[in-house]
Amino acid sequence: MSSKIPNIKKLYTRPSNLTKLFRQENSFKEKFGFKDNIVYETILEKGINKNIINKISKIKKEGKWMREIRQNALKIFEEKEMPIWGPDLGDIDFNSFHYYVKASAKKEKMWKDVPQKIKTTFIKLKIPQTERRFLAGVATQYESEIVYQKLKEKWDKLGIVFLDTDSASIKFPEIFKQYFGKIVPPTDNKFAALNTAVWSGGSFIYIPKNIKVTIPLQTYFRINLKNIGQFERTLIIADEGSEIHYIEGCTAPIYSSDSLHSAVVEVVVKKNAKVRYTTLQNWSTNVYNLVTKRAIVHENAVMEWVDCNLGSKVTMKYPSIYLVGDKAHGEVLSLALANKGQIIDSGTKAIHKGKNTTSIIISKSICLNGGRSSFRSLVNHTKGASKSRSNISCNALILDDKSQTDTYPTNLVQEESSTITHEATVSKINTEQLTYLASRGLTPEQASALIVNGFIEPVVKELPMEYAVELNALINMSMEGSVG
Amino acid sequence: MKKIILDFSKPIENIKVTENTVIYGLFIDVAHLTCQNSPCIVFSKNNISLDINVKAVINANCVFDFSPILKVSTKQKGIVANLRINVLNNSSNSIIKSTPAMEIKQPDVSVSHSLAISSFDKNQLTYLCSRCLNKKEAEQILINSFISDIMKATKN
Repeated sequence: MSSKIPNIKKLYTRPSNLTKLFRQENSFKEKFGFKDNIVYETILEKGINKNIINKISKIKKEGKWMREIRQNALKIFEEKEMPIWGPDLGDIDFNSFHYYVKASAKKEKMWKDVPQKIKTTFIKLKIPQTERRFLAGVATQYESEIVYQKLKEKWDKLGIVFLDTDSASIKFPEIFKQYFGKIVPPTDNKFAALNTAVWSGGSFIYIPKNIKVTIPLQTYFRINLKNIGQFERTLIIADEGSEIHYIEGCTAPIYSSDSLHSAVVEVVVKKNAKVRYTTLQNWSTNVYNLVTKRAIVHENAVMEWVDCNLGSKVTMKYPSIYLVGDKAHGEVLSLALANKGQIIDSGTKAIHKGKNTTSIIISKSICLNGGRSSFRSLVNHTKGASKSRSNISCNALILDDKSQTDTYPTNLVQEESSTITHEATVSKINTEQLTYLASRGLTPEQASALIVNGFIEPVVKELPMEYAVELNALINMSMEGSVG
Repeated sequence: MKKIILDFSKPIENIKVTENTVIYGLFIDVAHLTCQNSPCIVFSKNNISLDINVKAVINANCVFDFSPILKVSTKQKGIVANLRINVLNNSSNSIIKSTPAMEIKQPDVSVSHSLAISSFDKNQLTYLCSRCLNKKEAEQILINSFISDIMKATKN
């Protein structure tokens, strides 16, 4: 392990080090909120209409079939109403965003060939170092397009496909047509329709039968320009008996005007396959993050969503699992931290259709300084999902009386032999724990940070080491000034 | 301690909790019955404890939809509330739905809820049948046991 990586065990036992360490290098603005002065290759005018759709399609040299899908989705987007539940999205002006911005003329396979200014951004975000250390493949999306992508030769030889979605639609049209828009159709919701109309970038991953990718594939998303919409489309197909761990991270600079990130992620987990999809979302607090993620899980397959939401102005994200095959299993581990001015409305959906299917949902949320975190879930044991089992656990910490935490867990059973158990708690930081830590010489701030880190431990322990350290750092940054 | 018994045969109105309270609810279905209730529970004083214990036994074609919402405003400090919903499902033609929601705006609280929906424990049924009870008798014993705490508490 690199000497730069802090020893997490030491950090836990010596919290003063933790705070000191991350205070030195961190403030959100310095670490993630910087802006780059890039000369853009293409910036389409603001607004969404048929003309913009055709321009995007033309730039991407797409076939007629994709242009028709986009145009049809635009109609659905215009017809669909905004969601009548959840956070207020009334402030979103869809005509105030650029729907396509391209920073670099081509995708690079060698890091040295990436334009210097973009490279500097990702060096600041530690992407190449991360890759060198332990990742098999990294893709980086800057605004609307992937600018760098690399998959280790070893995996390439085994037939693994890790491409940007645009290239995949041209190179593998048959498999692409078979799955694109089938798991999340444009009719699903307004933002799925918007994404289908203007999608650009994202990752396409195909893992052949019985191939187990032992190290994670990663994509990093960056919004740099103000008033931009980023609409990546990710499609993952894990063939029978395969395994993969995919990680995505997101950052953006802070602007006074809003940006929009509306992604769609479709995952197909075939018989006996296993997919883990990890997200570390750290958008700046001017980004609307409205994402649709869904996985279809076949017989005896496993799907795991690990979803950490720390940034954004408003997040609405409910990674879903459709357990269609017998003995399929789904897990959702989610973490939400809502700070000043933030609304994190997250949760999940587990639809049990196969027999003997199981799901586990664990949610941890923290709200402070006037933030609002909401957990929303639907667990549905449909007719025929006999002997299915679900366990839902939802814990919230509320740190002050300016903040709010909500839970709306819907449980629906239509099958006699199925079982659902659900528990939820809301509380503040335990004063006894605070007093004990204070008696050991910790300041209230350090003690709170330590307790919060313990609270989120079930999620953090599922992350790779570097991400766990990063997440702890972000949590500590958020906790600064929250006590006293 | 104040005791409230929910009557599922009538629409349940919003409940304002003014003192330490225990709320019991028992729903035993009749075929083709629909129970749809979404009471809103609010607190009007500080330092109140509330315990809600709701049980339902579903035997025949029916719809049981119980979705209470617990609200704690910024002003109400020291609230301790616990909501428990347990459903014994013995019907493959029924729909059971529950959304036990919470909206909390005050950190000085301890609020929790739990929900369990399941059918008869096969091991318990097998044991009782091995003691010379037929299936119906065994099920009746398990139902009696399941609802006994609410029956005792609401005896009078």
